[in-house]
Amino acid sequence: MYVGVATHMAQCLGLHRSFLSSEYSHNQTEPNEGTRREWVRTWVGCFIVGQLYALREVPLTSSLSTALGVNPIISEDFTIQNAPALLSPTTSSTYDPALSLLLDKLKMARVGARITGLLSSCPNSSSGLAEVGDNLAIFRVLQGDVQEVEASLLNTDGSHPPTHLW
Amino acid sequence: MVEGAANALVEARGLSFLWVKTQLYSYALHDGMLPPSARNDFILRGFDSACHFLAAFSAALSTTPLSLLPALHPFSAVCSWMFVYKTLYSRYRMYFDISATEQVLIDIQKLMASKSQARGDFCWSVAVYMDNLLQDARNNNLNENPGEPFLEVRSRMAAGLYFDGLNRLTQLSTSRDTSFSSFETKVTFTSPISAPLSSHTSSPFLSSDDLSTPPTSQLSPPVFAAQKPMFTGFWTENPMADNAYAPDPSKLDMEWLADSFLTGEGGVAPSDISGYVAPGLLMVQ
Repeated sequence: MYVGVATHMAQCLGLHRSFLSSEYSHNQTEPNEGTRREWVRTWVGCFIVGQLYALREVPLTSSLSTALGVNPIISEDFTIQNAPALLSPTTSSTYDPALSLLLDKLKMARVGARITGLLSSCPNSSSGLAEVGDNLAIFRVLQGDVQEVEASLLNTDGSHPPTHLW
Repeated sequence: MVEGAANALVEARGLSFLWVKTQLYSYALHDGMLPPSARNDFILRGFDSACHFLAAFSAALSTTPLSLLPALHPFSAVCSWMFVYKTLYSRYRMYFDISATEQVLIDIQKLMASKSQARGDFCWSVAVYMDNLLQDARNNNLNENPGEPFLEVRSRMAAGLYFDGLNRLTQLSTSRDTSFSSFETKVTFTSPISAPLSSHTSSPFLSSDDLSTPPTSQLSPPVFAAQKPMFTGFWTENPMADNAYAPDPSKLDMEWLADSFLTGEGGVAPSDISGYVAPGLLMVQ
């Protein structure tokens, strides 16, 4: 519930359109780079929380299949897709563990959104589950996405500290 | 404190990834989603992920400060995955160490009860409904199916744990008894984590060959404290109950196992084989 409220407030503030903020904000002034970065970070946070933690708000009457595939509140947009570039520091190369964690979570949330969108958002079935057909190909593609995220989380090229996943 | 919180967040990152991964494979459980020939492969991968999710969640619970527990993946997620275990067990029961899974539930219940600091807080509510469900399972097994294998009762417990728990919480929260009417998350800062969990002892990612299919030698089952299981009769028939993985995989009849998959559910029984098999052994691309 709070995720939905926060997301709507963010949209009203124009956080999802940080480069068009004057269309949303009341002061009609363009934010500086630091402010825009914070807006992007906040919007990414809304996406992550809405996707990865939406299960906390599953209604009691919902079925297990629903609980395993809650549609994301926010669809992927330009800000979400380009968040790594928008959030990367331009002047400093210092490793930011909080930013790293945020971007890792974003990767997972994006994959989760794709899984839910492709497999449980079918408009032709009452359950929303995709009907048998080309699902195997979809599974293969999604599995590739998962493995790609898994590999990126294990980045041990020396630029980042070792990732402890367990 | 800051370091402890950071460690907990890092652990939550691993849980998040496992949750996404298992979520994908859970769709393979639905009938008609995939052709049977491909379905088994994805279900087994889901089982593999669910195993690690449950183990990681259990470990995180024991080391996470109380204030951060509600921030972890919801407890209902663990209960949901009991459904996956149940399904897998009904189809591929040879892979499933039911006593270990049951022990996870018991351990979590005890841990949550021990961490509860006030009636009605997060830990208290989890511990209460888990304890009630475990008691129900014991009673049902004794009263309704004396002498019968506990699979039915256990399956019911696993599948119903998620929903029953939520329903029980709802009943308590709407009860006229004022002592049950308040459910709040008690935020209390406790001591930081003393020793962060190491990824080098249990991570399946150490394999460079296949990141999603850990080698058997590096895939250790969760370690649980020794305790008498609730249902001992069934598992005393199986001498390998303490080890979820085959001690000597080379002795397994892979062709027979492949045939058993094609025969559908119910085609495999614990007595059919002499030991368990690591799920990774059958994840052949």
